[in-house]
Amino acid sequence: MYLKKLKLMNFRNYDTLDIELDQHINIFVGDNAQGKTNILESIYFLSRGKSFRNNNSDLIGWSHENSFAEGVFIKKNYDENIKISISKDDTIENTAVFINAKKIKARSDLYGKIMMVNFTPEDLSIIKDGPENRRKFIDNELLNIKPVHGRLLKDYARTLKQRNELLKNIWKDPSLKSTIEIWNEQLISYGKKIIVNRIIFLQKLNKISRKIHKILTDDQEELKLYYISNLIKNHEDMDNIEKIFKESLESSFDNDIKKGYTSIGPHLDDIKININDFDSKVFGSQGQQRTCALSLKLSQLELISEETGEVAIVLLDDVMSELDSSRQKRLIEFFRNSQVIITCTDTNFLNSIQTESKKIYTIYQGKIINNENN
Amino acid sequence: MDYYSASLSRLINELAKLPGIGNKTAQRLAMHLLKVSKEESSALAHAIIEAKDKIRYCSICFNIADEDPCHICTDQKRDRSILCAVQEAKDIIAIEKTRDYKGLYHVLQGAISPMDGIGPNDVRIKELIIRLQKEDVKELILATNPTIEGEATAMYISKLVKPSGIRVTRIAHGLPVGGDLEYADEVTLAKSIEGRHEI
Repeated sequence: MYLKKLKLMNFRNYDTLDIELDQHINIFVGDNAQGKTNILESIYFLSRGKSFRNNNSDLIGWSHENSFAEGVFIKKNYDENIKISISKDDTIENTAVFINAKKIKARSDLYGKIMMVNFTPEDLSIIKDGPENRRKFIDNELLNIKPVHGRLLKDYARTLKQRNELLKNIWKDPSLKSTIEIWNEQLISYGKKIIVNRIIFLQKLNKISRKIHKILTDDQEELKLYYISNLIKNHEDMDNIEKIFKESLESSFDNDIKKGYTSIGPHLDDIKININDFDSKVFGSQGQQRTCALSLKLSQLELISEETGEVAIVLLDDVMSELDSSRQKRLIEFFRNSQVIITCTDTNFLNSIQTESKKIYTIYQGKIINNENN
Repeated sequence: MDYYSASLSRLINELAKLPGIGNKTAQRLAMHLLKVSKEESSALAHAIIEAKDKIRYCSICFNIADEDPCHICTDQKRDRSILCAVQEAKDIIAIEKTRDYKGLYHVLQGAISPMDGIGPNDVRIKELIIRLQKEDVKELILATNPTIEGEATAMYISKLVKPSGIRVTRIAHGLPVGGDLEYADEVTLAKSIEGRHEI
C-alpha cells in the first residue's frame, strides 16, 4: 500500500500542505526544527488516530483552534481516504476520524486499516531500555495484524487496575479478601490470551528476524528472541497457563497485599534478545544494538506482508545518517516493494539510491520550498 | 456569569448540572422557560418536586417505584420462581420492553469496583441473598453489564449462590440480532465465536 496524497491544515507548523507522494521513495530534507518529523507524525497520526509523541491537542498549530489531516491511501484492492480533525475548546479536546467520509465511533476502528512501520533513532530503546519498551514493541506490532489484541490489552489493564486497587483496600479492610477471586478469573482469562498472542507472534518474528539479521551482519551474528514470562518456563506450561496463573496468583497473594500491586502476569513479561547466545542488552555494543533494532523493525515489515498481504508504508526518521553507505544501500534494498518516507538533514546518501524512483522535498519553516522528481 | 440577573444565572447553573447539558444548552433552556406561560413552567417545577417526593425504592427489589412494593413485585401474574439481577433500574425498563421476560427483578444499584471504592457491601448483594433464602426462586439470571466490573459482580454473586443449588445463568453476549455479520466489530464477533453453541 502507499500514501498517494497528503493534506494538512494548521497541523503543527504547517498552515497548509497539499502534496502528492511518490510510490517509492520520498525524501524530506531540511535543517533541524523546520518540520520534517511533523510530516511523518501526520502520516502516523492518520494510521493510528494519535501521535507518537504528544496529546492530540498539541498537534494543533500555534494560535489555531482546530487542525486537520487527510490522506489518500492506495491499497491492493481498494483505496482508503482517512481524514482526522482535532479541535480544542478551552480544555476539551475533540478528535473526529473519518474513513471514506464516514465518521467512525472509536479510534480502534482504525487499527489494521493502514499498515505502517516507523523507524526512528529511539528504536534503540527496544534493545537498551526496560522491559516495557519491548512489550510495547510486540503489542504495537500485534495491533497491525491482530486488531483484537488492542481490546485485550485494554481489558487486562482495567482488570489489573481494579485488582491492584482492591489489594490496597484489603490492607485496610481484610474482609474484602474473598472478592479477589472475581478479579483473578478475569485477569487470567485476558492475560492468557495476551501471552498466547505474544508468543505466537514472537515465534513468527524469530524466524524472520534471524534471516534478516544474518543478511545485515554478513552472516556474522545469529539473532534469537525468547519470551520471558514469570508464569511459563517451557512448552508444556503453554497448555496449562490458566492453572499456573491461578496458582501463582494464590501463592503470591499475601505478598501482593503487602506491596499493593499484582506481582505476576503478562504486564511484567520481557523479551530476551540474544546475539550469538549472548544477551544483547548486556553484552551488545551500541552498533550491535542498533543493528538488532533495525532487524526487528525490518522483520515486522516482512511479517505484515506475510500476514496481511499488504506491503506496509515505511517511515524513516533521521535513520539514514546513522548508517554507513553500504548499510544504507542494503537497507533501501529491503524496501524495494515499499513506499518509503525519509527525513534527513543532508542528502549524502542519495548516491546509494540513484536508480530508484523518488521525490525530494526541501522543507523550510513549515513550507515546502522546493521539490524535485526523478 | 455576570451578564445575567442573579436569579437567571442561578437557573442556568442548576440546569447545567444535569447530565448531558452544557452551558450553552442550559442557557437556551433557561431562556425558553422564561418565555413560556407561568402554568407551563410551574408544571415542570411541580413534576420535579412530586417525583422527588413520591418516588421511592421498592423495599423488595430496589426498583424505582411510586408505591412500595413496586408494581412488578406485586404483580401476581409474574413467575416468582425466576429472578433477574440488573445493575440499574433503567435496565429493568430495557428488559421489560422485550415483553419476553415474566419473572421478577433485583436492582443491585451498581457494580463492584475497587477503583471507585465500591465493594460487595455497597451494592444490594446482601439483600439479594436474603431474598433468595426467603423466596422460592429456582433460577437467578445475572444481567449485569458486559464490562469488567459487571462481569466481576456477576461472578461474585454466582460464587455465593451456586452452593445453594439455585440455577445461576449469565445473559449471552455476542451479535446483535438482525444485523449483518460484516458490520460487527472484531471484539463482539470474537466473543460470539467464543460463546457459540450447537444447534
